Amino acid sequence: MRGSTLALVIEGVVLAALLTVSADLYAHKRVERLGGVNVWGYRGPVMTRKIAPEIRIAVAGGDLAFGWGVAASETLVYSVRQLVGLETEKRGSQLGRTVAVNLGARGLPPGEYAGAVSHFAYLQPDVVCLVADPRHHVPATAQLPDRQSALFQVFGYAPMLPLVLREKAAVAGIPLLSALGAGAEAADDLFGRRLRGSTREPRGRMLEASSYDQALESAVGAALAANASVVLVLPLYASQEDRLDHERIWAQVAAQFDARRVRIVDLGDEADMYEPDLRLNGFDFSTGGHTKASEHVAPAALALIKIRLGAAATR
Amino acid sequence: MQIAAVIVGLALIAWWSPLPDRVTDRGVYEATAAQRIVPDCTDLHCFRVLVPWVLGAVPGPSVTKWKAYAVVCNTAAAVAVFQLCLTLGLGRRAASRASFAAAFGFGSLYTLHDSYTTDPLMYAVGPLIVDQLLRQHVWTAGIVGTIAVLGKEFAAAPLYLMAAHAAFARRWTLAARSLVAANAAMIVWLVLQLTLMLRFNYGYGDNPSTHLLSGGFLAPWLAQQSVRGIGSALFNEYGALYLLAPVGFSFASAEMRRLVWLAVPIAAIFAYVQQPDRALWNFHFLVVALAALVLERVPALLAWMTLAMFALANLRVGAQLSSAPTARVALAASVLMAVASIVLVLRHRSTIDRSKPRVMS
Repeated sequence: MRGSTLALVIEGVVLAALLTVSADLYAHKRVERLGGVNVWGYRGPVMTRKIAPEIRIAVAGGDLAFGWGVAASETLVYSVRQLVGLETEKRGSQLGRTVAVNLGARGLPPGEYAGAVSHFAYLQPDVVCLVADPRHHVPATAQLPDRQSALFQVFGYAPMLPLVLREKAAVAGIPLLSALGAGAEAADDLFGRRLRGSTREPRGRMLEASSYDQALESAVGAALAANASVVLVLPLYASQEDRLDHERIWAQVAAQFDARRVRIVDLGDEADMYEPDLRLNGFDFSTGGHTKASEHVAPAALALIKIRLGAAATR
Repeated sequence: MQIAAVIVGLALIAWWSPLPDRVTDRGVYEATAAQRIVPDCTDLHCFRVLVPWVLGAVPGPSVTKWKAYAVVCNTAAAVAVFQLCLTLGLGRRAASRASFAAAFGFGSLYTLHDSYTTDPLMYAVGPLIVDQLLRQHVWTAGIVGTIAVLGKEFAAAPLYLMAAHAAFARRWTLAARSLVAANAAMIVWLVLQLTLMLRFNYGYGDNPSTHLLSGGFLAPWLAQQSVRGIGSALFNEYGALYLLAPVGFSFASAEMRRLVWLAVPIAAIFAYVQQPDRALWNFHFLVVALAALVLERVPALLAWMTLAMFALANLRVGAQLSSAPTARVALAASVLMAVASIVLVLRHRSTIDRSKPRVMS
């Protein structure tokens, strides 16, 4: 009987762990198409395997790319996909099905763009639209996916249950749920910090121009290393400093990268992007903002796709 | 000899039974058999890997292999039911009749028509596990259940059923050991599900079975059918056994009754999350055993005629043999004979000794 009791205790722990993962998967399914992320930490459903001649467009970056406040399917990349698809999926076109994926991460500072792009290189995007947050932008405190999570660092699995529990608790007024969510997140983050060996980056401080430039250059390099073409999307101007940043980046990219693989779209130069209705909170794009931005990004993405396919055909 | 007869009978029916002329799960099972893993699969049946993996390793034409598998498993189910009846204290006569009803019942014969399913394995595993646990062979039952959950989640159910059964009988050690076995099967099942989901992007798609809080499979099934269709589907499942089993329950031992009571909520859960009529056949081993308690108390001719009519009806509604006589006549005949059996048994009830059933002349 003692052996059975011990076995039951061990099984109870294992079952609890497995059921927690199952509940987390369920939570992901409920939120991944809305404001959350899927199990692998990007917005929308998990991508299926790439089957040629599929064309894959990804958007990467921080808060602007993530698209807080709108559903995954309303973010920039899906509008870009739609516009590109009008061309690539025409009847008689030799080009393949076009699919989109939003790899933007909430609270991601520019210095971590390159890491994020490399992390998702296995998705094999053909074009990465790298949407840069302005240099003066302070990344959101709440990270999504939670990059401090031990699970995310070790397995690339982005836990969602703690956040869902806390939000459910806030709506339903059940403190126990909130405590459960916070406890699980704290435990996961504690292990995560040990794995990382450092604390979070200091926040609220504006990046040095050189660090910002270096971060974007590294991110573009990471995308190119993943065999993707890159559309670097620069944000709207909020100050004269932003103009100077953009001019510097233009010059840097033109000097360092091949125009057949890297294009720049500067939303700051597009007058129609400054309509107040295109922003939700003065920073994040509304659905209309994403759609409007996509009208500027899609031609560059399409041009790069045609160059890629032309090069592939030549080979 | 009897086993050979069952095998030959089922094999002939399988051979004659036409292939379904509608969309079935065949494509999913054949893909799983060929590829082992079907990346990004969004069909519930992709998770049921055991049978396609085993059959995929066997050479030969797909239809032949799957039909042969259905024949073998349904024969195994009949043998397991026979043994279970003996373990439950029924006589050999009752065991033979229960075994025949299991082999030629609706669920069994339907899988000879549409063999691309893991149901035949479950029909065999259910009575086998219950029998092994009644005989306190916990290891055997646990191993069988733990392997069989790779075929279908139902395989864990008999283990939990028997854990509860032992607990209600206050046999705590057996209950704990059975629960350990049941949990082991559940853990294996969960690990399989999570591995396939996370590693290979499997999903349940929009399968109603997963909509646990919005009616499961039951609600859409009820919504899609007329009242007559629902009644017909449910009645076809057990036919005359619906009449015989409740009467048999009154003759059952306390242990068997407890088993039946405990199976009811589990059957209700499976009827909720699966196609209800087919899900109920998973518990055939209890229903046919109860029915056999009546049929063992009536003259052999009446008992076998009842079962023969029952099987004849199932040739049409289960195996879909177009050459079989119309099911209505056979169903009606089996029901009438079942009623006659019940009347006969109840009239002599006062003389019946529960522990030693006798045949009335």
